Amino acid sequence: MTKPIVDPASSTIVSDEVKTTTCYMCACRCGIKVHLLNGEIRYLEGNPDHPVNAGVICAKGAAGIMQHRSPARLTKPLLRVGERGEGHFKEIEWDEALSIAATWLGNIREQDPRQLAFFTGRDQSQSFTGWWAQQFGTPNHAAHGGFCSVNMAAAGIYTIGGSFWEFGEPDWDLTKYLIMFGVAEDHDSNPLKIGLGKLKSRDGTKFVSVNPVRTGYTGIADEWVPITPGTDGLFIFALIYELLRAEKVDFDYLARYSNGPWLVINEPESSSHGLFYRHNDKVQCVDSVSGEFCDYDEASLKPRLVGSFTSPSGETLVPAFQLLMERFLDDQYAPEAVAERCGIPARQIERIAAEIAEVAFDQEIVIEQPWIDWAGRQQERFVGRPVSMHAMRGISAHANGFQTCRALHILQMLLGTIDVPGGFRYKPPFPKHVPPGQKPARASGQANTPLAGLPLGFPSGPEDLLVEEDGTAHRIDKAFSWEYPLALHGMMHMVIHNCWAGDPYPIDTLFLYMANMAWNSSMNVPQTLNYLTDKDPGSGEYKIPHIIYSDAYCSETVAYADLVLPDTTYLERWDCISLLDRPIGDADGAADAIRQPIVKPDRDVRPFQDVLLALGVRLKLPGMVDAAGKASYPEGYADYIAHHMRTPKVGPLAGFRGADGKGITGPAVKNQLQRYIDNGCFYRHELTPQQRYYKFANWDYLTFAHDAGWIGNADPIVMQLYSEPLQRFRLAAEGKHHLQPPTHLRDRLHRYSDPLPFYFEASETGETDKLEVVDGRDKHKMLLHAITQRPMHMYHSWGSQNAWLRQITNRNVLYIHSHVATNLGLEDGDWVWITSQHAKVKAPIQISDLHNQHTVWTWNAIGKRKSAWGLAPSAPESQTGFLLNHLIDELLPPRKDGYRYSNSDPLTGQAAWFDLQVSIEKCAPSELRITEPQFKASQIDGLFSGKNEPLQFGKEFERKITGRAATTIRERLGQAEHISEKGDPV
Amino acid sequence: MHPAASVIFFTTFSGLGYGLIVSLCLGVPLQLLELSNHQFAAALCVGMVLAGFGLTLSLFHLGHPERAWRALSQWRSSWLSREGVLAILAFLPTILLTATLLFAGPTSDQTIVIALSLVAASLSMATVFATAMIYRTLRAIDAWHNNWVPLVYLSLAVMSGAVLAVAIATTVGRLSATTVPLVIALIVTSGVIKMLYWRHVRNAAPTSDIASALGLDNQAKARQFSAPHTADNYLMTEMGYQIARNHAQKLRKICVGVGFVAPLALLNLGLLFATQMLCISAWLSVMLVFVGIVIERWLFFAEAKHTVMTYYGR
Amino acid sequence: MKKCTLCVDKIYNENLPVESRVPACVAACPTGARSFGDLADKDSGVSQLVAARGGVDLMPEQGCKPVNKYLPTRTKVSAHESDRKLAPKVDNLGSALLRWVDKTLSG
Repeated sequence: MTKPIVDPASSTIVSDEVKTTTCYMCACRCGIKVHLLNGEIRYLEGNPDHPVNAGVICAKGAAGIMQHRSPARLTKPLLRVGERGEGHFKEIEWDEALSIAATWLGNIREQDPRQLAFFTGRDQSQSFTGWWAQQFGTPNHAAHGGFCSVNMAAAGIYTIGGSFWEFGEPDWDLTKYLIMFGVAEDHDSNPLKIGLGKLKSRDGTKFVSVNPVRTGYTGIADEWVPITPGTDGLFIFALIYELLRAEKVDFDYLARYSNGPWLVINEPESSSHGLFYRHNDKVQCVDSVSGEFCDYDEASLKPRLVGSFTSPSGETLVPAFQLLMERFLDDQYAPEAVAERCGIPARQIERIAAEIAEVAFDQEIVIEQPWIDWAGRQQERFVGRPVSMHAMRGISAHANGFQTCRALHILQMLLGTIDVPGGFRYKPPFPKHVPPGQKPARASGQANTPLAGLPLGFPSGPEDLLVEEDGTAHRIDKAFSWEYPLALHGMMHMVIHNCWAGDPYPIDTLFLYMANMAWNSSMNVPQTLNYLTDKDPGSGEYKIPHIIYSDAYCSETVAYADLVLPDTTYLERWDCISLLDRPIGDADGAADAIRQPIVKPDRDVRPFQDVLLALGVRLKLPGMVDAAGKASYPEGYADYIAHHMRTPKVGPLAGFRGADGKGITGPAVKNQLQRYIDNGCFYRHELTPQQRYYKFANWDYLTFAHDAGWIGNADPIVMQLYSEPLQRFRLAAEGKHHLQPPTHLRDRLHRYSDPLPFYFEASETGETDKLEVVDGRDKHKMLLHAITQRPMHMYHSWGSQNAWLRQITNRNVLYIHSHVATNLGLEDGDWVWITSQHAKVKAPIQISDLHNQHTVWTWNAIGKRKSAWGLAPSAPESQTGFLLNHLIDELLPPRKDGYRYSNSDPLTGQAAWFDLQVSIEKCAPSELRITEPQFKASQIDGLFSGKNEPLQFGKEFERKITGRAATTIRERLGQAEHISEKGDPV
Repeated sequence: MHPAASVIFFTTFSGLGYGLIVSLCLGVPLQLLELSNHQFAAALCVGMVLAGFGLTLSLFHLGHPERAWRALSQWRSSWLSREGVLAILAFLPTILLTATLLFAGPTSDQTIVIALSLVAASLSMATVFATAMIYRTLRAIDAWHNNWVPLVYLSLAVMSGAVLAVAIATTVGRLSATTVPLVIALIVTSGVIKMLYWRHVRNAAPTSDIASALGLDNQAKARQFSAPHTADNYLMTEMGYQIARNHAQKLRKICVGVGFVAPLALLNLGLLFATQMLCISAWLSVMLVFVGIVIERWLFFAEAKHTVMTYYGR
Repeated sequence: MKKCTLCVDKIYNENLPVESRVPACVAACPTGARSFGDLADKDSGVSQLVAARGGVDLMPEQGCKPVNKYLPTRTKVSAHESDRKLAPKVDNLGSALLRWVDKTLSG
């Protein structure tokens, strides 16, 4: 063994202070340790104790220093002086900024609070911003979920009471077979990477990735299924077809935990057709022993899954499972029948079905842990079928995403792999009852009046929609309307269009936070910019009268605001990662976290949440001021986090509550935030071993979750193969409900609100074709699917202002399959015109065989507008970097009568980014190698250091620390003994 | 590799200077060059000035020129250090020889002159060899890691020095009848060596490739999907210098034409005519050879690919 | 340009807790693909890992005697067997209904 020659006295002092906080370089929300030296941030590392990342830190996380030092940081409140979009502002003081905002907002609230459209982007304080909107009184609030992954969330919540990512995860330690569908690699990425590391290093496991593109996680998959975009549903249907025919279905699991045995009224003419048959408000099943009807939650029930029964009043009743059989045993879903459309050979689908079946049913795993089921019966052990699944955006961002994702959950249910050892596991506070009780709140129509509840919720049927008497939408984005009944996360991507069009009504102020709606977060960017700047020809006023924008950085959107409220970086603020919002727990425990200010801002900026509270005080919003009009949270957001109570038991943070400070409900201990800081800025409540599986039917878990306020009651959570809320919408479309959709939406609502999943072609024009004749555009000319992926080292548009991250990717190319390249005579480095039915973009290409051959793709949000984000005008991001957004219309082609639907899932309103189809054509040799369309440089004055000089980092740490200072530091670090041995260090 | 002007001119000048010293130290005693002692001494000084100028240029290539002297201590392991030591050592006999020629007068002992000449010539050759070995030892650069490299450096140094020696001798002294044919033979030989070098570079299999970089067996086919990063870094600008194939071919032709064919033709022409004509063509040849070698050196760097670029897909 | 020093300022730094004295890449690696230790010590964890998994030098032909070893891809037991297919027990909805109508289930 060689002995290293090291002088221990040469050990450098890396930091004199270490603070913990929560990362914000993407949405994972990992725990980080921030090392400081002389009060300057020196480096970041993962917090090994943190439940999310266990010490792992990714490229983004470690590069957080450069986000904190971004040259694009805004420095002071700005008031527009030129025309919108020109980027001319004057710096104003905060008091003036707040009083301008309060005047605009106050006027609205005096008239009609709905005149405020308040939408937040990648906001991690949605339970707070939603509450603020509620107190203001506008239903026009949501975050970015509508253009992100609401299809996943909605389908999950309406099917199994949970979903992927924040809602659940594969049982990484036990699963043997993982199928992952189209995952966005900056989502949940560290937990996924940690999990994949576990899975890949165990023998006898397999990881299958179903993704048009073979990058990232797919790159390390044991099998790649290069699916054609938008056809995941067909692939899943074919798997279900194979499993059903082979009887590789966990009938017992379905009978116990799903609504498979629930009786559905089968009387097509009846107004209760397709609804569950109830007796005394209890859904009925048929007991196979007695042959009698029986409440679904009768403990002794051994229900029938198949059969035809007649109710005492003569209605034909069939179990929901039988309807599912009828749907899925149809030969149109045979592997042979779907193979060509999926781009996957039938043999591969059949083999994967066989592999899944073998792992699920022949490799059952057992945890010898007694537990008590919902009915109070002792169970000896947890039995698991170790097949797990994970999915995100690849399925979600298609118009058929909701039904596809429902099918995916049904596949999991048929295999009996939900919340079992080795399967998919819920992360507490999930699962929730299906659907959860909270309903979207409507504006009262009164001035100065808050909403009765939060703006977003979970409709169970037409009664819960937000529509006016004439059937038009109540919300500006038309969420929860007859057009998008299950738009659970709102439809932020339609807000600017609708505000401009005054459809369904004009608004006064558009208030946006941290959403780059003038660039990569909008479809159809050129037209969106037009909406933002368009003026009424009569009055000469902007069609959107006021725009307030808050962001820490100078994104493309800043230039379009009238009033800019500069936010802080994530290392300068308090934040709350709440169980009320998007929690960070894992399958074995619930967790939440905070951010604490690591350093003070060196510019005149304020945390957005503080600003909202300050506006709340000026506007005298309920909950934000007391009866005397004094601020309820005078210390700002930290004050709110520590002292707000959402219910008498539940506040923003769950940790350190109750009399002894050990509970998760009740009053918080006095110094709750300090307790969090002392605990590494997070809190985790671990479930007991008997609570960890079968949570939907686990008495210990359900009673605990009820006590914690996570679920409204401790009844078992029954997974929904068959979705009754959808059938209620369908009945309304058939004219069998007292609430009626407008005639022109009837067929559409009827077609899509199918209580069982079905497949339809998700193309920008295809489905419209089937319903109504569209104008003459020929979709068959657009032969190639075009999608984007996000690189692991970038979070949306944020990475490009980060000196370290843009070193990795500062330009993007269109990846073209070699077959296509050969046909079109293209070579690496050529430039092409990408043409959609809507627009053209010029871009460089690279040939690659790592994707489905009917597809082209590129990295998302690398392309930037010239001079945005503090970049030099010559930066590659704006010269060769390009966006596919320009090609995507936010509206589908007009119907025969001219009406245009949003380019979204017809149920959830999820933006259908990935339905894009394009054709490719080589550029003429004479054309410039610069991407098009180009937009005028958006240079904003008043950035922190928008000067074009290299960003220096590290110089300040070169000064050696010696003598007394070093000793002091070492003592602080608890190294005093060591010093006395070694003498004066360094 | 990034073709840095300082290194190109350094190796060209020092090659020329040491080549001149070699040519003089062999040519005069063998009476291929007829120069008086003073002329010999003066010509040696020219050689030392050229070599010294080249060495000075090399300092500009260093990040910390003031620390250059430290390099001299590492001669046991470093060819760069040996080059420095030899460059200085080569000056000692050359200075002694110059002094002898200047101060000992026409009666000086020819044995001493011949002995000093041989030592000066050997050390000068050794210096050029050491320069070449700096490149020859770099296993990560296939275009450099072969025996043709020292041969090219030595032959070009001697050839360029010899052409300069001829030019000097036709101006101030005289040549023997075999001198110019010998120099022509040197030009042909060095040209052939350079072309054999290019042939070798074209045909030799790369030492490392993407398969060995990934630890795959060499039958495995791997293609890089994307480089580790799209923005350039130090490695890519310094070691990933790329020159278009067509452009390189064109430059090679110019190099051969200017550095070898044209001097060859000029010297042949010179032979046919009067001495003055030879004088003019010899000086023209010196300039052409110099330009040719500068191009050759530029290509030597620009065409060389460092193995690290395998990780960047180049 | 700097070459990797395996974070020499971290790995011997007595001002850091012992568990932090690993190179930053090892501490950060999400998939746990990197291990750190003394390859010169035959009994060290990394040496045993290299022996067990057949660790190799990259570009050995360069003769650089690298101080790190790469572990080759694991061979997976469940390779794709191309002809596997589930044997159907029911051919159509009708036969499925007949077969499953009397299925005894445990509630």
